[in-house]
Amino acid sequence: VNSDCILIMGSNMAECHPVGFQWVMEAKADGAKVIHVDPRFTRTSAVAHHHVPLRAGSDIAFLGGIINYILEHGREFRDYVVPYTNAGAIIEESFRDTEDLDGLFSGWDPERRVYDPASWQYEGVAVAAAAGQREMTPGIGQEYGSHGGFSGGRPPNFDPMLEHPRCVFQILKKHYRRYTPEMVEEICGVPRERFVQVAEALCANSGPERTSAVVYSVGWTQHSVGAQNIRAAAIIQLLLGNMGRPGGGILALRGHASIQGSTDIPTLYDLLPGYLPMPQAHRHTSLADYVEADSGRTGFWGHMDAYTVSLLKAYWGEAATPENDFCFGYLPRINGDHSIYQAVLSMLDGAVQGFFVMGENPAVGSANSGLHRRAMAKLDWLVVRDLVEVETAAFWYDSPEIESGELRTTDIATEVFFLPAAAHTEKDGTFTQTQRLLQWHHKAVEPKGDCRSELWFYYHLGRIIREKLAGSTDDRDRPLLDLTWDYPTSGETADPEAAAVLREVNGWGTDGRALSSYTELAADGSTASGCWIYCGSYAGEVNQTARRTPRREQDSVAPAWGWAWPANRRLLYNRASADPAGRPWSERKRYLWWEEADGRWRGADIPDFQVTKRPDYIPPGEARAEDALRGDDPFIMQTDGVGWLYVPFGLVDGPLPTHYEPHESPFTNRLSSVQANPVRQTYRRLENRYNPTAGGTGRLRLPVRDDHLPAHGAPHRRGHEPFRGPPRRAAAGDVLRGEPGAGGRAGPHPRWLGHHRVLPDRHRSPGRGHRPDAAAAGPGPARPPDRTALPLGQPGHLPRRRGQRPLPPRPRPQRSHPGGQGGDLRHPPGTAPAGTGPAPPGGGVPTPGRPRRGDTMSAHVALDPAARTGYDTPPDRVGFFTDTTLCIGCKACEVACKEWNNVPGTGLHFLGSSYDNTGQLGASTWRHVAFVEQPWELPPSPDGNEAQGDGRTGVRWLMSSDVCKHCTEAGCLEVCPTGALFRTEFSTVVVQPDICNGCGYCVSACPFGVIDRREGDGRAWKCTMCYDRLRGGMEPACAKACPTQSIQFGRLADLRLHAAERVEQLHAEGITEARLYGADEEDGVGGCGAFFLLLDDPEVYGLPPDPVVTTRDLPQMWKTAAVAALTMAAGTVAAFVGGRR
Amino acid sequence: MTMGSRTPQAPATRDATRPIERRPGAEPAVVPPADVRTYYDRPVLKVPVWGSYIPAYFFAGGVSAGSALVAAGAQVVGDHALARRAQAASVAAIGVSSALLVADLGRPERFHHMLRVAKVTSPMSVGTWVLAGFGPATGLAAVSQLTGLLPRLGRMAQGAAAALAPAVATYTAVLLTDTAVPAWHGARRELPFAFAGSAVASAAGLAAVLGLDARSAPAIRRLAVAGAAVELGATQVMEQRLGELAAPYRTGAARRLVTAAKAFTAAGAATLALAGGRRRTAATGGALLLAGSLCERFAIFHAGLASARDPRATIGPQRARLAARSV
Repeated sequence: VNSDCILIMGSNMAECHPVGFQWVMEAKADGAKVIHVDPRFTRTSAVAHHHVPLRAGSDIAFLGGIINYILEHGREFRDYVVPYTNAGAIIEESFRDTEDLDGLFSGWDPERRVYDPASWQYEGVAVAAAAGQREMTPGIGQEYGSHGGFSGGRPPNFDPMLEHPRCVFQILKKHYRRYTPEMVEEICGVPRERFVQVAEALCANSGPERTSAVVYSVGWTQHSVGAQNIRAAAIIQLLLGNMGRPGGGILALRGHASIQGSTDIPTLYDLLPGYLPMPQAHRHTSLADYVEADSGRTGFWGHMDAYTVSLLKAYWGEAATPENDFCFGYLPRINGDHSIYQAVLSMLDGAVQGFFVMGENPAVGSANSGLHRRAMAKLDWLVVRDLVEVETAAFWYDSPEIESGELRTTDIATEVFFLPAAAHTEKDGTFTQTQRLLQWHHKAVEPKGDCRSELWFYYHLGRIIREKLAGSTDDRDRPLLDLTWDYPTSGETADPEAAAVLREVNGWGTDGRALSSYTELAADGSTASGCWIYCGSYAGEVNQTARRTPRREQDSVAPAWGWAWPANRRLLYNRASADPAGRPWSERKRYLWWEEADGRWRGADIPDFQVTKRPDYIPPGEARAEDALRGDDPFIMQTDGVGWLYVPFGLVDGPLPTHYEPHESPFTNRLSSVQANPVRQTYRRLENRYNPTAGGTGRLRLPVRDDHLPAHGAPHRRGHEPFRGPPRRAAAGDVLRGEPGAGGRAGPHPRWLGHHRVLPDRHRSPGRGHRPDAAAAGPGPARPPDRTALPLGQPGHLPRRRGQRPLPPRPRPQRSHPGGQGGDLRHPPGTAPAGTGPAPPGGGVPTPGRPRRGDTMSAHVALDPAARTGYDTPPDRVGFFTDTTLCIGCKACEVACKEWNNVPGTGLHFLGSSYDNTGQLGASTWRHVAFVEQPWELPPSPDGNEAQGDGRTGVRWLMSSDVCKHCTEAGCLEVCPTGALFRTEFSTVVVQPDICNGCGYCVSACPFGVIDRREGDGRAWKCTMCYDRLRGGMEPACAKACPTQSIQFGRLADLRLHAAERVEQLHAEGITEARLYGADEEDGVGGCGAFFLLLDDPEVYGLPPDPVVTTRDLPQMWKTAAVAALTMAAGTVAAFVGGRR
Repeated sequence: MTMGSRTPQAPATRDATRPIERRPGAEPAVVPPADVRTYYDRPVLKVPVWGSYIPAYFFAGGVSAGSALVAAGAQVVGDHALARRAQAASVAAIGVSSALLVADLGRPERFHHMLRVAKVTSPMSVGTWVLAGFGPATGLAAVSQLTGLLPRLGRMAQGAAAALAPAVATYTAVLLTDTAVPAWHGARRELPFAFAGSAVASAAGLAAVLGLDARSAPAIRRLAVAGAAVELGATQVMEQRLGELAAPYRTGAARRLVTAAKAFTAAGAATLALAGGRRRTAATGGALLLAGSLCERFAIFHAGLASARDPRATIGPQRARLAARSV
C-alpha cells in the first residue's frame, strides 16, 4: 500500500493471490506504478500499467540489467548503500568472478561439481574450516542462511568511498557490466526501450522520498537458479535502498495458503523448526558441536544454543537435561539427500518401502509425475491423507500407466490407505501467510464422517505407537517414549486442542507461563519453545494469532490483526527505515525513528532491533550475538549487521547471481560458455531423461516435456475460483495463455512446432490462445494435454498434466428464504462492521407497500423509490458502485453470493469466452464477472511512462462484475402480476419466492436480461442485494468479499459523488475512455441502484447501451389497445347490424 | 467466437474486441449500424421463458373473444343456433385458454396468486381480471342458452361477455408489447390491431365451420373479410415500420409461419367470401382462417424469441437512438 512502484515478476498475483493483490490495487489507486514482467499475459498484466513479457528463465539477465542500469547511471541510494550494505567490503585477493573465468567463480571443483568458497571471503576474515559446511555439501542444497560463516562483525577492510577495485561495489559493477539493455533484449526478448522503462521506473520511485517493492512467486523459485533470482532482486532493492522501509522490500508469494508455516515449522527434511539445521550424522555428535558449527557469533543467530535447547525441551520436557545434552542425541540425523526426488528414486530401487502423502498430490503435481507413479507401485504401503481421493491415492487403478497397460492393478502390491482429511473450516489452527503473519482459523463445523484433522492423525498415531512400545527397554524406543505427548483433547473424536499446540510452539518458562519473546529463551534448559521464531504468538496466555481488530480501528501497520513472527514485527529490518543517525529518511517514508528524549526507538511497528540500542552504539570488543552489532547495523540476523550485496558465504552457486540458461533451454548462453547453473542437481537415470539442450546430449527429440519441468505444481490450490474449480479442475488449456513479443531472439522455428502449426497465429492474437479448442492447446479437457511441442520462442506456457479426477458433489444445505432471517444466524447483526450499510429500519419489520398506481410512471421524482412506493421513513437508498477498473476478475463476488444466498451451482462450463464460465446473469448467477479481451493500441506518451497501455502489449483485458441494477423504474417489478417482486425499504427490488408463481413476465420485461426463471424450480430469481444482510445492518456478500475496491456498497448518493470523482481522476490520468453507466437519473430506467464505471461501450460488457423500461410506453400501448378493441367492437356491430339494413 | 455461437461467421465477436472507434462527423445512423459490438455474441436480454402454450393461449383467447361477439351478433340477427354454438365455443376456448395459461406457469399450483393484486402496470394482471370477468360471463350466457334457464341473466351475461370480449382479444397484444423484447415492443402500435383482427377472423372462421344460416352468413362473411384485412394490414404495417427489427419475421421458423399465416388468412377470407351458400366451402374457408390466425400468433411469438436472442436487435436500435440523440 505504501509503495510508489511495484514490480511483479514470475507471479500471476491477481489470479493466484487475489487477497494480497488488494493492496497492490490500493497502491495503484494511490498513484503507484504497477509493472508486470512475466512471459504470460494474465489478469495481473491486465491491471498493471506495463506488461513486459520476457523469455522464461531469463530473469537474472533482466534483473542484472537493472543492476547494471542503476550502477551505470549512479542511481544507487548511496547514503543507504554505504552504511547498510556490504558494498564497501573488500574481498579476498584470490577471488575471481565469472567475468574472469568464463562463467565460473573461483573455487570450482569440477570433480565434485561444487565450489570451495574460501576465496569468496571478505579480506582478512579467517574461515572456520567446519563452519556451515552443511550448506556446501552437494545434495544438501537448502540455501537458507547467512548465519553460518565467519566470525562476524563488520568486514575488517572497508572502503566507504566504494572505489577500491576489490570492494563489493566495484566487483558488482564489473560483474554486471555486460548486462546492457542490448544484452537484455538479446537474452530476454524484451525490447531495450521497454526494459529501460522498467529500470527507470524503479529508480525514479526509490530514494529517501519514495520506495518500490518487488513481488515474486513460484515463477522465480522453480528454476535451477531460483535462489539467485531472488538474490538479484535483493541486490536491486539494497542498491535502491528499499529494504526495511515502508513500501519497499521483496514479497515472496508462496504457492499454498500456509506453506510459509510449513517452512517455519518445516516439512523439509533438513530443517528443524525455526530454520535450525537438521543435525548431520557423524559431524554433529554433540549439542556443542552442532551449535558451534552453525551459530553466528554476532547477530541474533548468536543465540542458536538457546533456540535449540528450548526446542529440545519442548520435545522431551523433563527428560531433556543438561546431563544428557538435552536429548540432542534423540534427534534424527541426515546423511545425504533425502529430498522427494531422491526418495522417489529410492522407492524405485526398493530402499524406501513406505510413503506418507499429506496435502500433496505428487501423482500429478510432482516433476516427472509418471516416474513418481511408477515408484509408488513398488512400495509396500502408501498412506494418503487428503480432502478427496486424489490421483496419488488412486494411482493403482486410475493413471495413465494403467490406461496404457504399462502397469496393471493386479500386479501392484502397494497397500494404499486413503484417509479423508478435515478441511480448514473443520478444524482450528493457523495459517502462516507470505508475510509471516499467523492467522488463526476457527472450526466452523465438525468434520463429516471419517474426516479428521492432521493434528488428530498425528496425535493419535503417536499415542498408539507409544502405547504399543510402552514398557520397552530398547534404547531406540526412548526418543518416542520420552516425548511430551499430552495434549488435551475435546469432542467426540478426541481432537487435540490446536491452541495447546500453539502454546507449546510459543513456549514457556520455568513457571509454566507462556513466554512473550524469543529474547527470553535460555540455553540452560529453563525455557521450552517449539519454534523460537513463533515465540510470542501466545504471549500473555492469549492466542495472539486469533486477533482480528478491524483495519479502521487501528493504525496502518495493523499490529492487532493476527501475529507476525518474529515478535509481531510487521516489517523486517525496519531499522533501515531511518538513517544511520536514527532519523527517518523522509517525512513521507517515516516508519521507525530514534527518540532521544525517551532513549528508545519509536514508530507504529515493533522495532526489528533492540529498542534501546542507540544509533551511535559501538559494540565493545568482547560483545557477542546481537550486542556485537552496531547501532547502525539494521540487518540484525546477519553476522555483520548489513545487507549483503555480495554473499561471501552460504550459497552453493556463487556470491553473485549470474545468468545461466535453464537446464533444458534450447538456447546457448550468450554470456559465458557455462550453459546452465554448474551446481544444479540432476538425477541422471534412464527413467528420468532430460531434454536436449543447446548443443547438449539429451535423447528426446522434443524440446520440452512437461514431466521434466523443474516445477512442483500446486494441484491442491483451490478456492481462487468459484467452487474450487480451476486450477485443479481447470481444463487443460486454460493455463496456456500465450503472449507475443516474448519471442526471445528467435521466432518459433517450424521444426519445433510439430503438428501445432497454428502457433504463429496464436502469437498474433494472444487473447485467444488459452482457449481449449485452440489447436495449440492440444486435445480437449477430457484428456491430459498433449505433451509435445512448443515454440522455442515461448517456453512460458507449458501444458501440464493437471488433476482430472472429479471432485465429489458437495451436499447442499436446505436453501433458506432470501428474504427471511435464515442467513442472519451465521452472522448476527452485532458482528456487523460499524458504519457500513444502512441502519435497520426502526419500529420493527416494515411491510412492503403495495405500489401505488402510476407511481413509477412519473419518473424523476426527487424521492427515493422506496419513499414513492409508500414507506413512511425508509432508510437512504443503497446500491452498488462497481468500478471495473479495479476488478481483477477473481470471481470472489460470484462465490460469496452463491455461498450466502444458497444459490445452486450451475456447473463449470468452459464457454470459450475468456475466463467467463457463466456467460451472463441468470436465475442461479446473481453476480457475473465478464472478461473482455480486446486488441488495444495506445500511443506511448512523450515520457513513455504514463501511458496505461504501452502501445506494444497490443491487448487489453477488461473485467467487470455485473449484477442486477435495482432500477429506479424496474420493469420486472411493474409487470409482475402477483406482487412477488416488491420494492424494499432500501429501494432495492426483491422477489419473494413464496409468492412467485413463475409466470415469467419479469424475464421478458427486464431490459438488462438479469432475472430468469430457474429450471426445475419454476420461480424467478435474481439478486436481492442480500436483503437479509441489509436488514441486519451488513453490506451485501459480494461487496464484502471483493478483495479490491471494485464492488463498493453504500448510500447511492454517496456512491454517485464518489464515482464522479473517480471518473475525473481517471480522466486526469489520461484514461479518457472511463465513463459511468447507470448513474444518470435521466436515463431510460430512471437511474440504476447498481451502476458501473466502464472503460468501453456498455455493449462490449454485455450491457444494453440505452435501456428503457418497457412500461414507459405502457399508457400509449393501453390506448392503442383500446382503440383496437373499440374498432373490433364497432366492426362487429357494423357487420351484423349493417347486414340487417 | 469459438463456442456457443449460433452464427458461425460471428462478425460481432471481432467487433467486440475492436478498440473504440469514433467517426467524427459521421451521419447519425437511422438504421442500426451493421457493426454492432457485443459481448461474445451473447444475448443482452433473457429469451422469454414462455413455451408454445402461450401463443396457443393467445389464439384460444382470441377465438373465445371473437366467438362471444359472434354469439351476441347472431343473437341480434336471430340466428339462435349459431348464437348457441358460438357461445359454447367461446366457453370452451376460454377454458382451453386459461388452462394453457396456467400450464405455462413455473408453479401452476400457485395460479391464484395472480389474484393477490391488481396492477395496471402489469398487462398480465389486467388480463387476469378481464378474464375473471369474461370467463364467468360467457360461461353463464352459454349455460343459460343451452338450458334455457335464467334467460334474463343469460342475456345480461351475454352482453357483458360481448362487452369484455374486445379487451380479452387485445390485452394479449399489450402483454407482448410491454416487454423488453425488441420485435414485440417495437410492434406496440400495430400488434393490438393485428390481434383484434386475428380474433375476429378466427371467430368468423369458427362460426363458418360450426354452420351458418342465411341470417348470419353475410355478417360472418363481412366479419371474416374485415378481420382478415385488419390482421394482414396491421402485420404489413408492422413489418414495414419495424425495419431492421422485422428481420426475425423473415428468417427461420417465424418466416415460414408468417408466410403460412398470410396465405391461410387470405385464402380463408376469400374462400369464405365467395362461398355463397355452399356450406362445405364456407367451412373450409373458416378452417383456413383459424389456421391463419394460429400461425400468426406463433409467428409473432417466435419472432420475439429470435429477436431477444440476437444481441444486435437489442443493441442496434439503442445505439441508433443514442446517435440520433447526440446530434
